[in-house]
Amino acid sequence: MNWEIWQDLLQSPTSLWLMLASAFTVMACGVPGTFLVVRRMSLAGDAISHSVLPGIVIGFLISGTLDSPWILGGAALSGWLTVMVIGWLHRSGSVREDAATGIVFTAMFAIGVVLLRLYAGKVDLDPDCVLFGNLETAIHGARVGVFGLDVPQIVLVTGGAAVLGWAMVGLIYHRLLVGSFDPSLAALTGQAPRRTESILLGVTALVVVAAFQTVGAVMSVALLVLPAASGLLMCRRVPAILGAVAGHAVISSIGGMVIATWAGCNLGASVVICGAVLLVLVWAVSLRKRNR
Amino acid sequence: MNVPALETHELSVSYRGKPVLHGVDIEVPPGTLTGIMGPNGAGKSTLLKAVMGVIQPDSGWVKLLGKPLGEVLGRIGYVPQRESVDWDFPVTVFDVALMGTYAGLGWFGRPGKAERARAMEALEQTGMVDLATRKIGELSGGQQQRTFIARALAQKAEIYLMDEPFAGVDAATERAIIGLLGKLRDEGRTVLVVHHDLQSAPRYFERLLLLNLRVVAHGTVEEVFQPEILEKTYGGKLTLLSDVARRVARGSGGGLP
Ligand SMILES: Nc1ncnc2c1ncn2[C@@H]1O[C@H](COP(=O)(O)OP(=O)(O)O)[C@@H](O)[C@H]1O
Ligand SMILES: [Mg+2]
Repeated sequence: MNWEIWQDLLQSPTSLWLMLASAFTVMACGVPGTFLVVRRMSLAGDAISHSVLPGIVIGFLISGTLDSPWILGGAALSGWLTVMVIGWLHRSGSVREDAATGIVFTAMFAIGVVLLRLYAGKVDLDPDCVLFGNLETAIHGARVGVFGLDVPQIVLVTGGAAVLGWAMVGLIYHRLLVGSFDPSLAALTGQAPRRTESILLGVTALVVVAAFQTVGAVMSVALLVLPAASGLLMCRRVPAILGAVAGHAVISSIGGMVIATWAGCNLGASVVICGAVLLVLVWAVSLRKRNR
Repeated sequence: MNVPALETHELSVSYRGKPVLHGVDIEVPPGTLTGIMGPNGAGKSTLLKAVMGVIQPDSGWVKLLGKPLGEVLGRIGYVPQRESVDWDFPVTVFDVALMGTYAGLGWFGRPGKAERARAMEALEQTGMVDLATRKIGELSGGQQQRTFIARALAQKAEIYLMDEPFAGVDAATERAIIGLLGKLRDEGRTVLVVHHDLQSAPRYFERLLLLNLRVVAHGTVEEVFQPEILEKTYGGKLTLLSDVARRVARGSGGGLP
């Protein structure tokens, strides 16, 4: 292990902010992601993360800045509406759910890419940044004073998203659980499974939008699925999986920072790579346990 | 006259234009134990789903305890068909039993001591206490079924809808479950059970609903468990049928426990 990397990391407040922002991002995505994974709805996460793109581009064209709350709200709305339309197409018959999902979200993503290529040159919007994220740039963006501390806005945005995810779990955990495990029982006992699902998908859309600056629209789907999938391999209950997601967030943000510093590459990608390595490790351990 | 526990009127259901149930018109008296029987694809599960409001009927209506479903939420208990459960889901036996107590919690409530006690008591009744911390995917078929029966008991419902609770269970579990169903009935609850085995049906149930896309017959076992009616329901599909019919004709197949 190269000691200098660690010294550099710990001495630079920027690296600490970067790690904090990526840990918040992983946590924010991992919490609603857990419920998507146990419901076997990972594809819905895919749909949301791709369909927020046109919302982001249009919002940017209108407001002219990536920091605008209008972008966050508009993009989340576009992602949420997309999954609602998919659900409606599926329920109204004739279109299979997976087909409907595939058609709608790829179309939305294509619209976003076209808009991006058409207008990005004329305004200051970097396509790579939107598609793959660029936390290193975002961390030097706007700053907000909090208790005398000069906090990068991106840390607050991702932190807010993490709080939103955990708040959802803290408030309506039981409805999320029964609605995921047995929607028929949930409906029969007045647990409003449809509305619970809409809330879950709405929160997913919000955290994905918050995550797009960190890891980009494309890779946020990896953060929805990776931490939860690792947790599912290790744990027997949903609360334990949520704990594992938090651990995964901390480890993959530190590990991602090390990889990014060592290889000199995009931090978002490094965090995702580190998360993937973690998943493989957990999987290998779970295989050994099973064979014993 | 008593309000029927379950009443359907001209209930018709179809999947994407393909009719599955036709004009189902039944009244189930309260405090009875009814077996719902018919060949595969007869629409038994579909009937339960329509009663629970999981699928919308094309026409007709359902009343439970004399009211539409929306007004009796929480008073209806249910045991799903095995195939519709995700056995890989990360929940324990206790988690599942506890779900039976969620009805009164509201959006932000969480199950407290009383709910936990109810879930534990239900697990005791089904003999699942020792396995309470087991993940549901690590259970045998009989234990899985006991878990869902426990959840239903924890619901303390007035009407129970059970889809093939005897599928894939061992003989001991089957006896235990039928004992519990009898107890529920004796407490005045109404139990409807989808069942497959003609041999045991007249011993297990006091009433039968014979289905094959429409109601073939509905009434007490004495009225309904007749060779011609069974023949009409199953259309001679079961080789076993003639055997059962012969025993019924000889008068040795019927009779309540
Ligand atoms: N979700 C569905 N979509 C389309 N057809 C279905 C669906 N569920 C059941 N069916 C069809 O409806 C008929 C009745 O099914 P079901 O009620 O499950 O029968 P049973 O429970 O009596 O075996 C069958 O022909 C089945 O193929
Ligand atoms: Mg069935």
